[in-house]
This record gives sequence, structure tokens and C-alpha cells, in this order.
Amino acid sequence: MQFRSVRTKLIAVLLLLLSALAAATATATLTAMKRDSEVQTRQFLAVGGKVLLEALNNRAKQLSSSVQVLAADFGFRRAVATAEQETIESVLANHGSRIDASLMLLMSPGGELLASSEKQLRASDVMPVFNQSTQNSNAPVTDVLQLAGQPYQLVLAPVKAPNLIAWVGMGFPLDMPLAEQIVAITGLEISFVSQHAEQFKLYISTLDDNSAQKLPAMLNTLINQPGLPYENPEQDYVSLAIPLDKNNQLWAVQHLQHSRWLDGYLAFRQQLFVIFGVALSLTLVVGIFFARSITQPIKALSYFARRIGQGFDENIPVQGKDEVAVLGRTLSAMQQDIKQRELQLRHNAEHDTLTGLFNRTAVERLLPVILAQHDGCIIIVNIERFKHINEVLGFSTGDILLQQLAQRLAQLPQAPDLLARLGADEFLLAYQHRFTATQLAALFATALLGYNVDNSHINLKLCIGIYPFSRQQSSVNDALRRADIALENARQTPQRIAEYLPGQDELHQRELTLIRDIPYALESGQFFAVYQPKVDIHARSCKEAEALIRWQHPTLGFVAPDEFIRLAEHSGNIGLITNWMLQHVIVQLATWRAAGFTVTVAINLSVHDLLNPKLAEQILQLLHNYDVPHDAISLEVTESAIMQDTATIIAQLERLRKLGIRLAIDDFGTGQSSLAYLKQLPVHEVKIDRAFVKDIHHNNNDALIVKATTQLAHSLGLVVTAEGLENPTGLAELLQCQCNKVQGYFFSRPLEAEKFSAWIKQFPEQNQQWFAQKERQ
Amino acid sequence: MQHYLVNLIVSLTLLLGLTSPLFANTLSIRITDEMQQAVADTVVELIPGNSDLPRPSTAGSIAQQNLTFVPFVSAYTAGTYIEFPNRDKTRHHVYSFSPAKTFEIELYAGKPEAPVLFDKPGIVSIGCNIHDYMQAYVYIGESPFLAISDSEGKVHFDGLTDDTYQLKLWHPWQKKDHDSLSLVLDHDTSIDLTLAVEQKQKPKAPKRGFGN
Repeated sequence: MQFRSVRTKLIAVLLLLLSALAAATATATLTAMKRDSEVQTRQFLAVGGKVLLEALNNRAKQLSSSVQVLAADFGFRRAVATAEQETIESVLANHGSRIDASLMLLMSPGGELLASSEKQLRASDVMPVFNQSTQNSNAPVTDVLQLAGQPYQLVLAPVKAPNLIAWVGMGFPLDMPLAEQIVAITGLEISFVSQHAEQFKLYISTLDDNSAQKLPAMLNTLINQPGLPYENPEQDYVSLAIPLDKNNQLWAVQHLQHSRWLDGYLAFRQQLFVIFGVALSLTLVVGIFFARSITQPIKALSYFARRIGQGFDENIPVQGKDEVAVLGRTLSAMQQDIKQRELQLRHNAEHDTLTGLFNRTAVERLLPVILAQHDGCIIIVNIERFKHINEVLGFSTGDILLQQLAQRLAQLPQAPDLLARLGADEFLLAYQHRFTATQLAALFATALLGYNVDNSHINLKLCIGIYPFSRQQSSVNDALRRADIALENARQTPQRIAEYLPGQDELHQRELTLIRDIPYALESGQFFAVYQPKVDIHARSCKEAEALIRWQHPTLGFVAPDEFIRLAEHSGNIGLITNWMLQHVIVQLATWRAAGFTVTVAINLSVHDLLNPKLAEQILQLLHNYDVPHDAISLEVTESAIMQDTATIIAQLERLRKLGIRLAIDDFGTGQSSLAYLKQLPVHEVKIDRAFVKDIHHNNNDALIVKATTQLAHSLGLVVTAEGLENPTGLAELLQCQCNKVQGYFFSRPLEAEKFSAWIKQFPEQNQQWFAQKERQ
Repeated sequence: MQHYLVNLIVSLTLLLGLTSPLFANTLSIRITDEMQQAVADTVVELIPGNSDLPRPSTAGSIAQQNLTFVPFVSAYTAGTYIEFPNRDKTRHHVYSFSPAKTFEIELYAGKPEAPVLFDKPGIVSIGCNIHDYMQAYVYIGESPFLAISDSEGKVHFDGLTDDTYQLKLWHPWQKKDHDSLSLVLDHDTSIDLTLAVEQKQKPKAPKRGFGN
């Protein structure tokens, strides 16, 4: 069973226990009492039965004596001896009345009925008694029997003169006086009953009329179980039947009034019920109070614990020294411990373990308050080249530096309202007023110089991004992002300090959008390739082109390749773009070749692509898949890309070159590499950057550089392509510089595939228009 | 009954073969019960078939002595006067309600005034009204040939002429009436007879607390 509360349970158990005890006691007591009563009843009835039989026996003896005396009376004998019917009848009547007999009879020694006071009496009626007498002819015999419809105690005595001449019988009725006499002796009511072939007849009863009327219905049961007391629910008596005659024809039924013991029994039971009722009520009341005394503190403690769980401060709700109070004190101690630990956890959660400053979590909690209260500025400071310091001086030194910087930031002439360490070497300072860049530079001057770590003297250079904010204008995210943007911009400035300018955030957002959209744009066909012809200016032919990627963004419109390629390189998505380009160009080449149009198309690779060890394999696979010869594509690599990891990239280029793919260095001359690299690079071609070409016709220096570079490249066996030719004058210069090929708007801007194929088909016929101009000059 | 007759016949045949015929015959009878015990006080009456009956004795006596009737059983021929002499100190009130003779001699001492005539054959049961236990039986026969068995159960008759006799047996305690026998006498004869009787004590005065 499930109880909703301890109180209910306790009370239920108590009540159950007591009830069981009470029920057991009551059952045992009442059962014993009832059994005792029954035993007493039975004994009483048994004794009553014996007394009755004894009384009848005594009466029989007395009657026998009387009859015997009568039978010995000489006058009686003489009268009997006369054998005169009249004389005999009168002497019977006369002598019978002497002893109050109601019925008189005379029988011959042979058993014939000689005379009788009841005319309808037959000898056979008396036979049951007479048959007993013949055995012993000298003594009188008695029995109870039914004569002429009445129960009699009949005495048969011999008449001797001096030999046996007759039997005289005297009958004494079992009548009401006798019954009352027996009632007086036994204390039991009595009824006389006859049985004749299953028919029962009630003669006399001392019971009241009502009970007596109900008696005949019970007689069958009663008489069929002689000696067993019978208790009829309809009657107020326990009855016992006792056979009176030897043939069991006549019965006495004795009745013991039930109520005699029943009253006592009922009264006692009533008392028991009252006692148990009172005991149960008391138990209930005591149980409720006792249970409440237990559950009330528990309830209070439960509430207490819940409040602790919710983080409230509460006083212990229970006093005393019992277990509940101990539990209360334990909970209270627990509350203190929790509070302590919570503080510790919160401190840990919001503080940087290295510097002890607030961390980013704390910033997110504290910054909104500052942002909401005043105008001010947020400054993010970053140690320049901290990675380098870590590498050179070790991480422990780096950590010490960070700790010292943290101290100095905390002790700036103008202490920040919030100082936190955001990440590795990034600190945040929040002020409730604004600074100009100059003011800040001055402010931070003290934080830069004179760090002494393990006897090394270190000066730091900090990048500082400032975000001036207006009250209630920025969210924490915006503020942090804008400060970050400013920091990013600061890295690009010589002073390493930049203030966030309105709109930068939007640019930043645009870049994020572009970065996010690149993968989907590649799949959904927003990108397309254009082809810019590379014209052999000596042969005046065009058999090559450079493939360039274009992006038409559905919402932002045309996106400049420089922008999204830079973003793709930063976000690591450049590989996707290169793969798309390779696939697209090779498919296009296959299409053209199928149309009988052969051209070699150059594809740009980024440094990321070159560092991919599977690059050569992937290109080979693509060429194979579309059945495009290896020399149908060429690859272009920027000079600056090569500078990143020269050895790996050179190995990669070697591999590609062995596949028979032509390689070119793009944007040559803009990188910071020395010419020394050039001889190591396994390339076929050098493409001179447009910066030297576009103004070549009126800039002698450019012309000289181009000429020298061309000569150098030629001497190394490389083909030279000039990029960015825009006018015919430049073409003449380039021809003079011995450049092999030219790419630029002068010949054609980058064209979409169909236009390009059309352009290149008409080039051999129409090339005079470009070269003729030169001739005209 | 049959068994009884066979016994009798066998006995008779045996005895008849042993004795010789005489003018005046004697008859000896021994009476036993079923247990072969001698039965005393048995009355035997012989009634001759042809011979004239001899004159019977005309007087008898039944005394009251020691508060009993003496003798217990007596047999007389009808027509006998019987005296009832009282030899006790107490008075007696002798009576009989028997159909053969009803009489009453109220309280008397010594010899009653007159003997009582028993004129009808039959059994007369005699009692005393003041001593209920006292009892005597008188057998009143037709014939003078009456005898009562002694303590050995024996009865003896003399001077019986040759004749065919009817033999009757009676005992007060007999279990039932004895059928009469027919007996041819022409010589001295001895017979054994068996009679079923109840074994009882003869009535005698109970001890009383009056110190006599």
C-alpha cells in the first residue's frame, strides 16, 4: 500500500495494530465466553434432564408403593377375586381415587384387560408396560406411556391372593401441576411431547403461549438429536429433548431461557466495543498529534531544503536535540557549504585562473550594465606576435608576461571600469568615457615597456582596437565584435591602434555572409568561369587562355573575385573553389575538344591547394575522367604562395610538372621573393604582374623592369607572359622587351565560354586590327 | 413334549419286563426335573379306569406353624374337611379366593371353630391376610390315590388292583400344566417321570424386628 504521508502511514499502522489486537482479544474473549456459556447451558440442561428423570423416577417409586399397598389391600383383593365386572370396576375406582390415580385398569396374569376406567383402552395399549412386568411377577413396574391420548405414568402392580391373580394398573397423568413442580425443581421450562410416526404432539408446556406455538416446528430437529441442546434463532430458548418412555414415544423438552446468558454476553460485548471504540479514538488522536510532531518538522525541513536548493538564505526551522533537529543542522551546514562552493564556483567561472582577471563569461554578465549606463568605449588589446614570444621564450615566460601585463593594465593611470582577459593574449578594458587614439596611445605607453622576465628585458607591442559606444545602443555581442573588428584593423596600421568606424561592422557582416554562402553558391551555379585569351605576340596566334572565376550573388550582386577569394582563403574554403574550377574547366575543355576546338587553359591555384598532397592525383583523375590531355591545362601559382612553404610547394610543382602539366608563376614581381627562387622553381612560364605592364608605354622604369625580367626568365628557359596590356603602345614595348605572350584588355577582357570560343575562332583572320595599329605607328 | 413321551415309554417298557404280575400291585414313581434333580412336593393322582373308588379319608389338616403353612403342599380327595390349627402365638387370617374353594377364617388363634369342607376337585391357593408371604397349596383330587413326592422325589402306591389308571401330576411351581398319562397296572411297577419346575424357596417367615 502506498501512503501519501508518513502521518497517514503511522496512524494507519497504529490503528491497524490496535484493531487487530482488539479484534483478537474480543474474538478470544467472546468466543471463550460464548463457549463457556454453551458449556454451562449444556451442563445446566443435562443436570435439568437428570433432575427431571430423577423426579419422574421418584414419583414412579412413590406411585409404585402406593399402588403396591393398594394391591395388597385385602378388600381390594377380595373384590378382584370375585371376578364380578361391576365389583371390580367399582373397587378400582374406589381404590384408585384413594391414591389420586386418574386411570385405573386391571389385567389378568395372562395379559387380558379385565377392567379399565377408560373404555377405549385396549390391552395392547398397556402391553409396553405389561411386557416388562412378566419378567418379575412380584414387583410393580412403571413406565411413562400414552394412554387414551394422554401421557401417563403407569404403575402395574401384581395382585396376589396369595398367588398372582391379576395386575392392577394405576395411571398418573403428566399434567400441568407436575410440569410446574418440575419447573420449580429444575429451574427449566418444560414441555411434554409425544411422537407417533413422525407426528409430534405437544401436550403441555410451561412456556408462554408465543414460544409454545413455535415449539412443534422445532420438535423434529430436537427429537432427532436427543441429548444435544438445540438453539433456535426464532426462540429465546435453548432446548433439550429427553425420552421419557422406553419406546421413545414420549418426550420431555426442557427449555433454558437464552437471554439468561445472552444478556450477560451482549452486555460484555457492548462493553468491549465501547472500550475498543474509546481506545481507537484515543489512538487516532494521539497518532495524529504524534505523527504531526514528527511530520511537521520534516515538512519544515523539506521546505527548508527546497529553499536552499533555490538559493535562498533561511534559518533552521527546527530546534532541539532529536534526530530531526540534527538533520536540520546538517542541512544548515550544507547550506553554508553550498554557498561557499557556489561563491568559489562563480569566482572560478568568472575569473581567469592565470591573471585573476574576469573572463569572457564575466564580461557577458557585467558588460551589459556598462553599455546601458553611459557612453563610453570598449578597448580590446592584443599582444603583437605573442605566439612568437611563446615560441622563443617558452610558455611559462609567456604566462608571466600575461600576468604582468594584467597587473599593468589594472594600474593604468586611468583605471578601467572593467578589465578582463578574453582569450590567450587578448584583454578587454571598458571605460565610461571615450578616448581618442592619441589619448589611448599615451595611456598605454606605460604598459608597453620594461618587462623583466627571467632577467630578459622585453618590450611589448600592443594592438589596440577601440569601439566607442553610446548609451544603450549596443548589445554585448555587437560591442565585442566591433571592438574586434577595430582590433583587426589596428593590426593593419603602423601605429597598431584603430578605432571602429561606423559601417565596418556591415562590411564584416557582408564578408561573413559571403563566407557562409560560398559552398551553396558553388553547388547552385552562382559561380561561372570566364576565359581571357593569351596571345603569342610574335606568332600573332592565340592558343591559350586563363580561366577566371566570377560570382553573381543573388542578393549582393556581382562579387569581386579578389574579395571572395581572399575570404575563401581566410575561411579555408579556397579548396572548394579550386575543385569547382578544375572540374568546370576540364569539362569545358572536353566539350571544346569534342567540338574540334583545342586550347590550353590556365587555372589558378592557391597555397592551400598546393599544400594538399592529393592535388596531383585529383587533377590526374579529372583529366582521365573527361579524357582531356595533360597539356590542355596549365596551372598558375602566385609568387607569394610559393613563399609560404617553399620546399613542400616545390615538391608539389615537381610532381605536376612530371605529369606534363605546364606551370606558371603568377603576379611575378609583386612578391617579396628574390630572384634566387626563380631558378629553383620547376615552372615553364613567368607572368609579369600588371603593375609593371599597364603603364609601360610611358614609364621607362616599368619597361626596364619588364625587359630585365624577360631577359632573366629567358635565360632560365622560361616563357614570359605580360599581363594587363591595355593599349597598342604597350604592345610595342612588350614586343621590344621580347615578351612571349600578352594577356589583357587590349586583346580581350575575360569572356564567357561561348564568346571566348567565338573570339578565338575569328582571331587568326582579324588579328591585323591589333597588330596593324602597331605597324601604323 | 415328544421327547418327554419317548423317555416315559422307554422307561415303562423296561420296568414292565422286569416285574411279575400280582393281584395287588404297587407303583413307585420317581420324579425329577430336567436337570435330573429330585422334585419334592409333587402331587401324583391316580384315577382308576374301572375299579370303584375306595372311600376317601374325610379329614385333613394344614397347620400354621412358625408363621408358615405346614405342609406347603397337601393333597386331599374332594369332600375332605380340612382343619387349620394355629400353633403360633400370633393370630392368622387364613383365606382362599381360589375357584375350587373360597373361604376365609378371620383372625383366630388356636384351632378355628370348624374345619373347612373342600368339596370340589381343583387347586386351592391358601394365604394369610396378615402374613402376605405365607402360602400353601391344597390339591383336591377326584380319586383317593393321591401322593406327594418326598425330598428324593419318590412316590409310592400300594394295593392297586389291575386296571388302567389315569395319572396326573401337579406342582405349585410347575412351568406348565402336566398332561395326564394313561397307565395300565397289572404288576408292581416303577416309573420315572420328569416334570419341569421353577426352582424356588418355600415360603418361610422373614426375620422380623419384634424380638420373638
